[in-house]
Amino acid sequence: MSDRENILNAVRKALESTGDAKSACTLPELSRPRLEGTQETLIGRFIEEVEAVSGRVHRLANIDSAARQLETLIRAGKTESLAVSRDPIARAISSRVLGRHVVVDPEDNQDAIAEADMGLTGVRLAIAEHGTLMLAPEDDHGRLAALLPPHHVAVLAVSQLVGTLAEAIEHLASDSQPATITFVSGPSRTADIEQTLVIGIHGPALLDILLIEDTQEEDHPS
Amino acid sequence: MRVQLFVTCLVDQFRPSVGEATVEILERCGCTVEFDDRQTCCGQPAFNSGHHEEAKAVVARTIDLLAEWLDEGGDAIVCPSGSCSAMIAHSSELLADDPVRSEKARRVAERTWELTQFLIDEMKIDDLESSWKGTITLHDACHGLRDLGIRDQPRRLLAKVKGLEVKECASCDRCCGFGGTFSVNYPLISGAMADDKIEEIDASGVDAVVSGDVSCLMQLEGRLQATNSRVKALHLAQLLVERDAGS
Amino acid sequence: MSTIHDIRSSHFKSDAREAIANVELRGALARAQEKSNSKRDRAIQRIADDWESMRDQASAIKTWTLENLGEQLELFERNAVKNGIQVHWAEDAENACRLVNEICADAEARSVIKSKSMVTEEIGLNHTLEAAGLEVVESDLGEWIVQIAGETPSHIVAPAIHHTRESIHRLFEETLGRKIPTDAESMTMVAREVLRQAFLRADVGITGVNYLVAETGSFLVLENEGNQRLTTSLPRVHIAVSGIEKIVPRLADLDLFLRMIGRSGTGQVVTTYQNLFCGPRRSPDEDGPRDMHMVLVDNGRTKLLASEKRRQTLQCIRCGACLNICPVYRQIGGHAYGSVYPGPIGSIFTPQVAGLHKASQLPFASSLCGACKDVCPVKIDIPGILLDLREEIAEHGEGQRDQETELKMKRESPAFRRWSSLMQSPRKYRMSGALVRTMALIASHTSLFDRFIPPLSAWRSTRSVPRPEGGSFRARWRRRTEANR
Repeated sequence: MSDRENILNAVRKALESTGDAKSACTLPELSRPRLEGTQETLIGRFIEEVEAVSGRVHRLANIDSAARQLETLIRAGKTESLAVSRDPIARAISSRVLGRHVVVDPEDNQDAIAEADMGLTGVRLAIAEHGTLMLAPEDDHGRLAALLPPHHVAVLAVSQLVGTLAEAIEHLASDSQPATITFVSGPSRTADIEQTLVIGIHGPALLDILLIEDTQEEDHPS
Repeated sequence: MRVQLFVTCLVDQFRPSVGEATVEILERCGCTVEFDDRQTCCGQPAFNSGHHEEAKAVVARTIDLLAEWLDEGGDAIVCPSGSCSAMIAHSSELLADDPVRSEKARRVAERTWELTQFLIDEMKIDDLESSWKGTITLHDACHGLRDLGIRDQPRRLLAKVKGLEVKECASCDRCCGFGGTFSVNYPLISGAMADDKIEEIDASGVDAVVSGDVSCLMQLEGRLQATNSRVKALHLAQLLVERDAGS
Repeated sequence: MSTIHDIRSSHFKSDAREAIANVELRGALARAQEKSNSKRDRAIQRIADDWESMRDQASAIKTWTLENLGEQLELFERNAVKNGIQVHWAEDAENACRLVNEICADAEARSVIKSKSMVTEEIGLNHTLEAAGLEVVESDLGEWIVQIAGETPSHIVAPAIHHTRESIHRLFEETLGRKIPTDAESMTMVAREVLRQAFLRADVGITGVNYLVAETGSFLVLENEGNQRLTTSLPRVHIAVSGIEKIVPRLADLDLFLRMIGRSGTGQVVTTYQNLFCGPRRSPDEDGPRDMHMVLVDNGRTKLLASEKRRQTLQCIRCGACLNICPVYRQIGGHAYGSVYPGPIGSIFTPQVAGLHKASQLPFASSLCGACKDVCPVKIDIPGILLDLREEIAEHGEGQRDQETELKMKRESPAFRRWSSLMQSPRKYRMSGALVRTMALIASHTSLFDRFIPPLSAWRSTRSVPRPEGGSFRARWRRRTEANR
C-alpha cells in the first residue's frame, strides 16, 4: 500500500476509535471584522500602521505628483538603477523619470534586478488595519522587482485600499487565485541576534508607498 | 454558616498555625468552624506524579467524607490552599469511571472554596480588621491563580490591613519551582526557578513574601534560608489573622 | 517508524544540569523571555476584548478540522493538484526525506536553499540531503547561525535564542575567516551578503508550511526576513514540507489565525511577510518556480488522533508562546529537552511522536504551573496532556521508560502505594505524620541522615529544610475542643 493510503487509513481508524465525539463539533461561523468609518479614516489607519512597522506612505494627488515623489526618493537614495515591473501605473510613473535613470526591466535576467538599487511595482490591494500591501506578482509579471533591490517603492491607488484582512481575503476568494500572493507589512526585519531589531535583512530595507488619489492618465505629458 | 475546614496535609503536619489562623479568621466572619479529623489528603501528590490508581483511592475517600458532611447540613468547605482546592475541583474528572462518586465530587467541588475566595466571593468580606506593620510582596500560587482564577481576592484583603504596604513584583505570577515531586526529581531546575523569583523579592526590600499555599512557601523559605536572606515566607492567613503585629 | 531526528531526550537530567550551570545561557534566556512576553502582552492588549473569543474560535476550527482530517486532506490534495502542485505523502521521516531527495535528484539539483521549517528539522532533512552530496544552506538568520554552529534550534520561532551577540560574533569571524564589526546590524548585513549568493546559486528552495487551505488547495507560510520569498522566487523548484495537521478548511480561516499567530509568537500585529502559494509560475509571470511540490508528512501524528485529549497536541500552530512563558524553559533553554521541539509543547509532542521510550522524562520536566495553557492561542491543555502522559508512563509504561525514569519509578511506585494506604487510614496517617515531622525537625538541624532519604538530599541540594512548627493541627484542634468543653 502507498503512504497515502496508509496515512488516510490510519486517520480513519484513529478517529473511528473515539466514536461519536465527532457529531458534537461543528465548524464555527467566522466573525468577519470590518473597519468602521470613511475612506479618510481608512487612509489614516493605513498610514499609522505602515509607519508603526517602519514603512513610509506618501499621499499624492495624481501620477505627476507621484513621479515627482519618485524623483525625490531617487535623489535622496542616490539611486542609480531602477527595476520597474509591468504594472501599468508603475510604468506610467517611471516613464516620467525615464531617460535620467537606468531602468531595468523584469524581462532582463535576475542578476540585473539583483543589482538594481530600487524596485518599483504595483499592488493588488492594501489593507488598512495592518498596514499591509497585497502583492500579486502576476499583475507585475514577476516577483523579483519587489524583492531583490534594497528599496521597494509600491504604487497604490486610494481605491485599492480595503479595511481589513478579512475583506482582502474575500476579494481573493472571489477572483481566480494567482500563483502567489505576498502580504507585505513593512520592510524586511529580523531579531535573531539577542532580540535586537534590525531592519532589512533579506528583503528590502526601505519600503515607500506612493498612495495616489487619482491614477487616471488624462493629460499625458510630453 | 457551618464551615468544614479542609486543612490539607502540609498545613496539618508542618504549619498548624496556618490552620489555626484560618479558623480564627472564619470565626471572626461569623462562621461556625468544624474539623473532621478523619480527613487526610486531597490526593494531589500521587495524581500529579502519574500514579492515578493510588490517587483515586485517596480522592474517593476524601470526597465521601466531605459529601457526607454536606449531606448532614454542612454549608461550605474552606481550604487554606489554592492547590488542594483545585485538586478537589478536578476530582470528578478523575473519578469519571465511577459515575456516582464522580457526581458526589462535583457536588463537593461546588461547595469548596479556597480561603480568600470564600471570604471575598462568598462572604463578601474584605475587611478583617487586621493590622500588620511592614512591607510584603505577593506570590500568586499557580493552581489558585490559573485553575481557580484567584488574583484579586488576596489583594483586596491585604489592601484593608492597617500598617501594611504591598509591593508588587513583576514575577508575582511566575512559578516558584515547587511542583510537588518535581522539586525533588529536578532539584537544580526547581532551585533555579526559586532563585529567579527570590532575586527580585530580595531586591524589593520587603519583610516577607506572602502566598496562599504552604507548598510554595516551603519552597521559597527553603531557598531564602539557604541564601541567607532576611525575607520571611508567610501564609496569607498568618498575616490576615494579626490584629497588632509587625515584622 | 516515526522518529525525531537526533533525539537525546533520555539525557534530559544531565543536559539540564549542564544548562543550569551555564550562567551566560540563563541570562540570555531570561532577557529573551522578558522581551518577548512584554511585546506579546502589548500586542494582545490592543485587542483584549476579542482575544478570548478568538482563542475559542481558533480552537474550535482546529478541533473540527482534526475530527475531519481525512476528508480535509483529500480535499486539499484534489485542489492542490488542480493548481499544478505535485502532492506527495510520507508516512514517516525516512520516506519524507527520500521523497525530497528524489525530487532534488530529478531536478538535477546541486544546491538547496531552505527557509525556516520545524518539520524538516524533525525529519532530519538537511542531514539526508547533505549525505546525497547536496549543498544545503539555511537562510533564516537564526537558523543559519545554528547551522554554522553545528547545532539544532533551541526555540521553534527563535532558533538562536541561546546565543549572545558575542557568541554569534565569534562564530561569524571563525566561519567567514575575516574581521567583522560587533553590532547586530553589521552582523546581519554580513549574513545578507553571504546568503544572497547562496540564494542566487540555489536550484531548489525548501520551505515549511503554516497553513494548508483545504478548499483552495493553496498554502500559507509566514516570515519576517524575506528569505522565504527569495527561497520561493529564485530557485527552479519549490518543495514545501508540511505535517498533516497544518490544515484549515477555509481560506477565510486564515484571517483569524493570522491575527493571532503574530501577536502570540513575536508580539507583532502580523508578521512582515505572509506568502500564499497557489501553484508554480504561470504565464505571464517572468519568474518563480517552474515546479511546486508538497510533501505531506505523518511521522506519528495519526497515532495522536485516537485520544480526544491528546489529539489537541496537533492543534499547535507553532507560535512559541508556551516556550516564552515557561519558567522551566527559562532556566534550561531548548537544547536540554533533547528534541527539536522543546518547552511545554515539545514535552507533549516529542514523547507521543518519537515514542515514550525516547522521551519519558519530558512529561515530568514541568512544575505543572499551567502558564502555557493560559497563553496558548488554540487552547491546548498542555498540563492536562502532561498528566495523561505521566499516568501512562507511571502505570502502564513498563518497558517503555528510559533508564532515568525507570529508576525514578522503582523508588516512586512503591512509595506511592504506601502513601495511598496511609492516606486512607486516619490512624496510620497520624502516626506516619508524627514520624515525618520528627524526621523533618532533625533534618532542619542536620544533613547527617540525608543519604538514607534520597528525596531529602535532593531537596537540600538547593534548599534548606524548613523547620516544622511542632505538633499537628489536629492535635491543636483536639486540645482546643477539649478546653472549650
